[in-house]
Amino acid sequence: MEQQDKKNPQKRTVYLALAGLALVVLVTILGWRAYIRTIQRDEWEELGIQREYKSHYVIIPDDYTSPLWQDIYRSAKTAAEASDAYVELLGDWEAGDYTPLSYVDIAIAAKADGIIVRPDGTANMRDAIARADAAGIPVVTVIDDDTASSRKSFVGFNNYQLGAAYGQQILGCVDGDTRKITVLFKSGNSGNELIFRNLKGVIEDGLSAEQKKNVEIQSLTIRAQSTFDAEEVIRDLIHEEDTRPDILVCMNETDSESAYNAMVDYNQVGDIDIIGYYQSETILDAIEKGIVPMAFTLDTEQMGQYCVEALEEYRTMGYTSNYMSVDLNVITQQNVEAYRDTEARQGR
Amino acid sequence: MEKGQKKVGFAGRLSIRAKLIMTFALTATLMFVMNVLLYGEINRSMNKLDEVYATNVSLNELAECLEDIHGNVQEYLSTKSSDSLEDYYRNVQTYRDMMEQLNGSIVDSERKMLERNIRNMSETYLDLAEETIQAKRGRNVEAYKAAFAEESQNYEYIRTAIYCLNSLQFRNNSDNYQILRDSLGYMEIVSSLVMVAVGVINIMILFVLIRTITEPLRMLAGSANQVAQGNFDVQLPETTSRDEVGVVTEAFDKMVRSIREYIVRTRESMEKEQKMMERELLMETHLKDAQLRYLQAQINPHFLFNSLNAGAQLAMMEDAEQTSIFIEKMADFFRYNVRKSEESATLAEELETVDNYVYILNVRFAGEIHYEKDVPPGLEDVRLPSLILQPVVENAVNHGIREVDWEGHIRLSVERGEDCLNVSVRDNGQGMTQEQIRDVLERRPKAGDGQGDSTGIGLDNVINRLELFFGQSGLLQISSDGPGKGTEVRMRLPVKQGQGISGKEPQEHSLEDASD
Repeated sequence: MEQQDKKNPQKRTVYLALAGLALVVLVTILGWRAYIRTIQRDEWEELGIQREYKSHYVIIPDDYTSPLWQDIYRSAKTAAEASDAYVELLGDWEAGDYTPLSYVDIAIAAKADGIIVRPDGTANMRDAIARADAAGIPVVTVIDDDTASSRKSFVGFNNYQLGAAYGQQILGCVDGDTRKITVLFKSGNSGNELIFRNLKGVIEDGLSAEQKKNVEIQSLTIRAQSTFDAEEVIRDLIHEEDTRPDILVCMNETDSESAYNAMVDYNQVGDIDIIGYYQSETILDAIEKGIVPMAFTLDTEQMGQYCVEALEEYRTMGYTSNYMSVDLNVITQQNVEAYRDTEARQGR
Repeated sequence: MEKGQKKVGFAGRLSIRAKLIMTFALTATLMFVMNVLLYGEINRSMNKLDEVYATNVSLNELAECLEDIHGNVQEYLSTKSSDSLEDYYRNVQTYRDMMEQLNGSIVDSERKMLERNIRNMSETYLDLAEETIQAKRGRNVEAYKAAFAEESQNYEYIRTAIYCLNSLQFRNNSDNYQILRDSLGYMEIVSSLVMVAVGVINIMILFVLIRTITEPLRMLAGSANQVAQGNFDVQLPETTSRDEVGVVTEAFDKMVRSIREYIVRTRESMEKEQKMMERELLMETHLKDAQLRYLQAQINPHFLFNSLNAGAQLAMMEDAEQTSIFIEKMADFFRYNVRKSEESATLAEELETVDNYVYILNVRFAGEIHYEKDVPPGLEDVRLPSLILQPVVENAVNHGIREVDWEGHIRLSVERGEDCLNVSVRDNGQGMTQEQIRDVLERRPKAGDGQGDSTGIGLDNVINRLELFFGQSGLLQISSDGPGKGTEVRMRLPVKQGQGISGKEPQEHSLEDASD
């Protein structure tokens, strides 16, 4: 027993030394791991081995930076992941200053497996879609349709229904003081006419005979020569007293924001009801504050998903449905929180 | 348990130097490994950067080659020269080779996808270029014009794509540079932390290790201090290690043990010496005592001897032979007593002195003493302490036969015993009671002893000197059958034949010989 006690210090020393060594090794390994973790982030992964996909789809937006397209791209990418396809958002070749039309050509030249594009209604676009079709690349149109083209499917909201839905909502905003309702369109969309007709019809049907006399419903198609023309047109519209509407209906997210800013700048808050489009941060804020009564938005989640599904279906089955309808949502002060949550979830 | 002890054994066997070297080597190796890892990582990052720049360079070559091809096509269309066609084919081959290096698979990376797009677009372009050339050869003007337009469009697209890829890579590279900078920063922190940790642990190990070295030293120093204070029974620290300290401790232990043994031996021998010196001193004291008594009686020995000699000569001249002999024997007796300051004398000398004494007494007391001696021949030279026999005989006379009415006899016999000489002096005098015997043997002084008609040496002196001389007690025994029955004094002298007496050699410095 005594003998053991006397040996203990020695033994303890050895154990201590071993424990110390183990600690050193542990510290080294942990430090190293921490280092690797911190350093070897996503950026490096690009240089490493990555997942290989089977097919390559291209989304060609008309506005690369808009949240709408980013949302569509994100949901398309997620949906494509499941079917082993990669989705590329093509449209940021700063060097070229290309139009969506050029990008369609580029996608054809780059031998993509599918193209998702919002057609501008021009013959050139129709030709480009035809070229893609000739090259065996299916094209899906999104948001706006071009039925005359050889696109395989359209994902979006039917123009007829769209006009009716808008009309219903606008009707709710009409009161005794409403004199002028202006609907802003972008030129080149073949559906504009149809939308407006439906919209006008629904509103007029809902108004009393007396109101009908007072309320003027007009459409304004902005013929954009260059990128910033729309903004100037909208400013003028709100600035000039004789053109200023009581209800301004915007059909795209940029126009919505421009109109909103112009309204605030010219101190017309409360005098103009803007029916916005898409849940951008500015519009959501405005709806929350009650400055903008409502905004329409298409379910981007469904759009992205349906586009990819249509392409996949066509590529595997050889056919797909001509039209895939997505939900049209109305954002009001009551449900605006839900959209904020969605945004937060998507990490924006 | 077993394993642990084995390890202790291993650690215990190591010398301090080996332990220190091992510790330093171990920690240094750790540091080294860590540094190798870190620098390996730096190199890896650098190589990655190199790779990226390398693709950049080849992209520029690709763009140049594409430009050449487009130039060749254009030249061929406008001049239809065979040189340009030749150049065209060569450039196409080069271009195809370079294209092969571009990524062709669909992966989740903007850069790689751009590479793939360029590759595919290039293929499309080359097909169009080929188509243009063929149309030109076939002189199909409409076709080659249309094809060239499309080809030119494609060429622009590819150039833009390459430009985009280039700028993307430049952006990537500056990102990578930032990452590299960050990574170097992190590496600095991590390596500093690891080094600090290693350093701290190193110090801890060293501390423990040094304690295993210094602790035995400290304990050893404590033991040494105790030894210095005279405590040789100190418990030394147990040494389990076989290092230098263990060796020193063992040596120290050995030293203390041998010192302890040496001290015990020295103490023993000192005690022995002490005893011997004590004995010697006592002996000297007794001898001096005896001599002093003689000297007291010897006012001027030379004068006395000379006077006695003169008396003897006078008696001779007067033809008084008896008187002459008497005086002569008187002189001899006293001379012997004075001269024999030495411790030992021969048996013959002792016997002669007894003879002289008895003769003197017989003259004094008109032959009342009947003295006989029985001494075997050949013992004359046996040495024994001087002035032993005469006092015993004197005792027998004074206390034995002096006062008795009957005829006194004294018989002195010497017998040879085994390793000893037995001397017996028997008288038929008044005897002694047991109490008297005991008193004498225990050397209790009696009232009136040492006075009167005595040469001065008592029996107790004889007993003491015998004990001192031979280093034994009980050498002298007295027996008596009671009052009136005579007394016998027996002495056992442990002398060896032909060797004189055992015991101490005669002292060199005794009282100065008084004779002559």
